[in-house]
Amino acid sequence: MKALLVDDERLARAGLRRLLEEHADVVVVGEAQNGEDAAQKIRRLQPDVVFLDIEMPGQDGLELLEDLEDVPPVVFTTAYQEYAVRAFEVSALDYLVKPIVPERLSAALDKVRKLTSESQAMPRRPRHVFLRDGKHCWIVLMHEIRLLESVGNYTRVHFANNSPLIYKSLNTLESRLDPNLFFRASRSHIINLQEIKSVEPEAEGGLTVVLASGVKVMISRRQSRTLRNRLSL
Amino acid sequence: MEVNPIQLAASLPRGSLYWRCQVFGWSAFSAFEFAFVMAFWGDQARIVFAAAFTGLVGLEGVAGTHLFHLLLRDRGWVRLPPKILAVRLAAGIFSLAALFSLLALFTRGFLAHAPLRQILKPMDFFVVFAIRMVILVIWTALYVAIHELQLRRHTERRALRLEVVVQEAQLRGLRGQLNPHFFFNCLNNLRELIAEDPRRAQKMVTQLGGLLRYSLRADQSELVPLADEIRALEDYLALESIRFEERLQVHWDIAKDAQSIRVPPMLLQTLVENGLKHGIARRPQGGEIAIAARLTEANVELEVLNSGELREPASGAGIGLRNARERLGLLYGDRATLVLQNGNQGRVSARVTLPLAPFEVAR
Repeated sequence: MKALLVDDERLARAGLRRLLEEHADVVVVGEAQNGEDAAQKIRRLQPDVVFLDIEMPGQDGLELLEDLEDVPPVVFTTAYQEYAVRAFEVSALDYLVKPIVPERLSAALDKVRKLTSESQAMPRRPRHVFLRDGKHCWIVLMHEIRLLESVGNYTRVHFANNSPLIYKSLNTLESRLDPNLFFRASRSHIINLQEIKSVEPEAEGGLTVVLASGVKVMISRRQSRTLRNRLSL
Repeated sequence: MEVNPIQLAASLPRGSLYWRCQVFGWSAFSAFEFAFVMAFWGDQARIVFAAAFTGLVGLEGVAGTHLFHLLLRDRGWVRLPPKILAVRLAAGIFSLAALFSLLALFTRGFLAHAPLRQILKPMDFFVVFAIRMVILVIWTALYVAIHELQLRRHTERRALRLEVVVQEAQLRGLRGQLNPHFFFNCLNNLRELIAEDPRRAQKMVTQLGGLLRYSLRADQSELVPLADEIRALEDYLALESIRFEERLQVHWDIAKDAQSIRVPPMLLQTLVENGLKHGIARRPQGGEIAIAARLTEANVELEVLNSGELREPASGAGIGLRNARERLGLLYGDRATLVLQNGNQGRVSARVTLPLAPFEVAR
């Protein structure tokens, strides 16, 4: 199991590393002391688990996750209980409150082991994205996102039973999404191609798409041609 | 100290003053009466009678007005509304004056072996009565005046004491305290250091102990020499350096003649903690904390500079600085200032100016 340790404090990283030495199957493949450094190492080292300190100077742990195209399994480490509660809502694997208790760490590692053994059955671990609005955070399976709508400077993201308003532009979010899975329908909409139930032609070569949820999305004229090609209509 | 108004009124006028006034006043009156009687009778042979008579008159006066005193004090007349008090006093003075007059005339007649008809001459009675009325009015006026004066003095003293108590409570609430998060971080780091560098861990415990002792020792309304505060601050920064490591650089610039100046304890520490929290801790690359102290003609200037930038230059004060400001206000009135502003070279400056002249400490 490859682990990456992210914490701005060297002593905290050293302490966690010492605790992880007790677990023979865990290999610490790297350490990072800030968000930028961590993002690079996550992309390069493809760790099975990231131990992530939430409060860091500059880009903090949550901002780091927001920037990733694919969010790896995360165990949060935090000195503050309030962050811990938020992290729990995040559907992160687990969270550890500092000072880290060895038994709690073992329990967290068990969850990681379970997850890695599950994903080994799959050809490739499905991609995850990290979303947050003012209060809540989610780690979402990318293919579960059905629709993204631009609302001013915000974007409403529809997935499962949630549709939070994310303070990111549609363009920013588009750059994190898998282009094989998502399609830019117009200036204000991105749709999940797997969600398309039917396509209705409009005047002047335009298209309207009906999603599985019943929502209709107008496709811009320029994008209608692209969509026709992709769906080979 | 709790003083309830009823107790306060009941204790007035205070015993010794009351009796001194009574003895002095009625002795003077007896002497006057003696001179008066002697002038009238003009008979050296009856001097003993005159003395006995005036002595009795004095004793009657003391006894009669003491009754008044008991009514005023123990029956609580002094706390009555002015109108009711005036009526009761008038009635009291009138009856007491009449009683005194009769007593005086009978005493005099008895001593002189005069027949009853001669004793009760209306003209005599009127003169004696008028004198006693005047005396009693003066007595009562003095009594009430002294009572009012003492009451006011007590009320003032009580208000002052209350103010001091409130200020002390405020100071206790505002005192510079070490942030619990700081202790928490220290303990977390200590846990790692014990394994990594036991010698350094031991030193850390010593520093933490010293700092804790300093923060507990200082009676917060008292001032400590700047040198003591600096020593505590050195411990504090050494402890924070364990967390920040190479991200924190510290520069000192303490003028020699400022070392012995007395300053509020934990004040400089608050400024430094603020600089670390809002400056250094937020910067991935860390930065510098510079601590300076210098004397001007009438003031001592303490300044903490930290790398960073103020987001809202006008307010930009968290609880720590707000408390520090209030504390300065309580200790020095408007003679001390705390200014937080963007300095040059990408630094934030927190500067405190304290007066050197004798402090208006709240006590």
